[in-house]
Amino acid sequence: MSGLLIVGVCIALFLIAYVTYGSYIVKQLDLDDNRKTPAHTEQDGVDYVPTKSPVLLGHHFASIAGASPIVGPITAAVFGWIPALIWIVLGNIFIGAVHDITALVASVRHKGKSIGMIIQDSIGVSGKKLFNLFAWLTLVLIVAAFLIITANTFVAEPAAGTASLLFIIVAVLYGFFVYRRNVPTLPATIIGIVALFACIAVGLAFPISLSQSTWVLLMMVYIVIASIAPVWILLQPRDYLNSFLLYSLMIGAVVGLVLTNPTIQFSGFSGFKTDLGYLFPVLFVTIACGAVSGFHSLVASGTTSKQLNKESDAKLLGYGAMLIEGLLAVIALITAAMLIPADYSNLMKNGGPVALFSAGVGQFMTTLGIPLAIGKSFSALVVSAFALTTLDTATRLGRFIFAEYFDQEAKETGKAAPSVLTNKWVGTVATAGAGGLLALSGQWAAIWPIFGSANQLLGAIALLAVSVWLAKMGKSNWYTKYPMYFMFAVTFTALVTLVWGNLTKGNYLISIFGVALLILSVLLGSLANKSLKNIAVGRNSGKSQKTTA
Amino acid sequence: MAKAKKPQHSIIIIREEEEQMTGGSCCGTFSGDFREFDGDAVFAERRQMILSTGSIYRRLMEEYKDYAEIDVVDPRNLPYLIPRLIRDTRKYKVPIWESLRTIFGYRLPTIICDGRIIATGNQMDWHFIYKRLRDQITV
Repeated sequence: MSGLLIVGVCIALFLIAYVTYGSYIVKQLDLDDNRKTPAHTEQDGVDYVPTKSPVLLGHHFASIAGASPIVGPITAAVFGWIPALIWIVLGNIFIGAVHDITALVASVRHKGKSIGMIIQDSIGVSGKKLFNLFAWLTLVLIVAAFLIITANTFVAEPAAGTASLLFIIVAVLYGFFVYRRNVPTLPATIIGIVALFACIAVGLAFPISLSQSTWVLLMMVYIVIASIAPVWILLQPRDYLNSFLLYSLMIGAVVGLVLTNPTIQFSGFSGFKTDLGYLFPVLFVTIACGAVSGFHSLVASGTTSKQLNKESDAKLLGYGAMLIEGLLAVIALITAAMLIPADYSNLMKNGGPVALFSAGVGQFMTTLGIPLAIGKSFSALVVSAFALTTLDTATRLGRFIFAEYFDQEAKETGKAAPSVLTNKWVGTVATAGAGGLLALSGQWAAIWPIFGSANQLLGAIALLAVSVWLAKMGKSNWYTKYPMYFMFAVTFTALVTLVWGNLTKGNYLISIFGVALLILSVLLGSLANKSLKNIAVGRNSGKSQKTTA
Repeated sequence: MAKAKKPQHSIIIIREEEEQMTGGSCCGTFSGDFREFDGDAVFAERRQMILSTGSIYRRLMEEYKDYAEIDVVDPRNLPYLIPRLIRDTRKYKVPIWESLRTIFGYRLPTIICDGRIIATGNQMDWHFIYKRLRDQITV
């Protein structure tokens, strides 16, 4: 079967869904352009800025697209490309896109408050505290997963290892000249991009071959330093240069895919049980970003809701942007599905999903006249750059959450928090250290589904918060409630089976993280259930009072 | 009801959003939820730039809301920013050399009016900006 045909069918399905189900959700949410958004009512030019939908779409999409919608689909292809594709398409249309638009609208109706604050409003302060704990654990899992993914990529593609190290130097120089020497942005960027290709050339000439554990240790040291350093030195310039890489990669992959029109060679369905586990629930947590991602609720409620110009724009930004990300996931899946199963297994064992994706996109790029070695190294460098940025950011945020948690505890007890627990080095080393310990276990395939479960759990919690909010408003909420039940079922089953599976294999550290997430989800679920029951009791008593009157 | 007249001028403020965008993907977005730790910003330098351009944005809205379309764009939002700059330089018939300066010469942050750079980098002073805009926009 033609890979291009699959992409074409998916585009058609997404367009139909946008016009039909997307419009239905808009109607249910009662979007009204006469109702002023927080961007107008709270307008301050800082956080609340009315922004036109094409501008905001660019911001929102760049914030949700990254390495995860690439890694997940490729890993899940082990079940066969058909179940993975069905989950990406249906998951996007009925859960992921609904999750994004409802989280966005809920935030807009709460004056642009973040989903964390909405959860607090809906299920109390304990919910917020548990949410903080959950966030830190998730960040540690992110650090662990991306440490191994990046290390595996560098082992399989040593040229990408060299190029990535050099790219750090390029980013530092870019940051220095642009943010400290006031050099114009675009010329500096062009020089930066040229330097980037020079890094690839140097990488191909001088590949650095190190073991996986050495790369992990090196990167642990690096992320501790990078996450403490001022953001203009590394995080800010690399994030800026990454934007060029993201769009170059997407254009290269799409144009190359059209010109190559690869034939699907992978098996459509490989069975209900694979090395990853059972199709249910593992498939649904392995492809998180790309089908449904809880993190999107944070983007939607963090920045986008504060800048939404009019309510009707929520359809394009909430529902539409998720479908575009679904398309990125489909393309990533095609790079795996065009391989024969033996080649797939070989590439997954020797390099992992990023190496596989790089080989696929490198193959596409040959039709544009780009030599395979350069195309492969470029793709590996791009996804590794995303992964490294993810690592820096996760560690930095982990440090802030760590300190805040102990500060909050201290405020509640009326005592000052021990300075050692709020020290930035302690929070950083705790986050990077916990992630590094997990990564050194080398169990990437075991960690990724737990990380996926955490992501999906956040999605379930966001759907829950939205369902509670809709119920409080007296509105129909079946389109968020049933996806929420499904997501909780997936998450609970996944965590129980993953914890059990890891315990029997002796992966105790991973099991501890799984158990912690499981306990948190049970607690959050019961808090939410209580809140929903209270609302139902309140509504029923209201009805009976009316009847009595 | 008569339709409001579309503003004749275009003002773009180029500055970064606070959070990580490309590459931070999943976890970069936690910053949206957990921004104010102990009163600090996670990405402090960005926050500082946002605050300084925020006050200019408010002044611009006070003075030119009815005359100009005012947009804030992140430089990482390439698919929107570059075509918009090209469109503005053509629409407002900016000479080629000045157009190239607009597209290639902006620093962070920058204010562009009708395809021309008004203030860029460390020129973010309201009096300077207002003086430059008065020459360009007749109120």
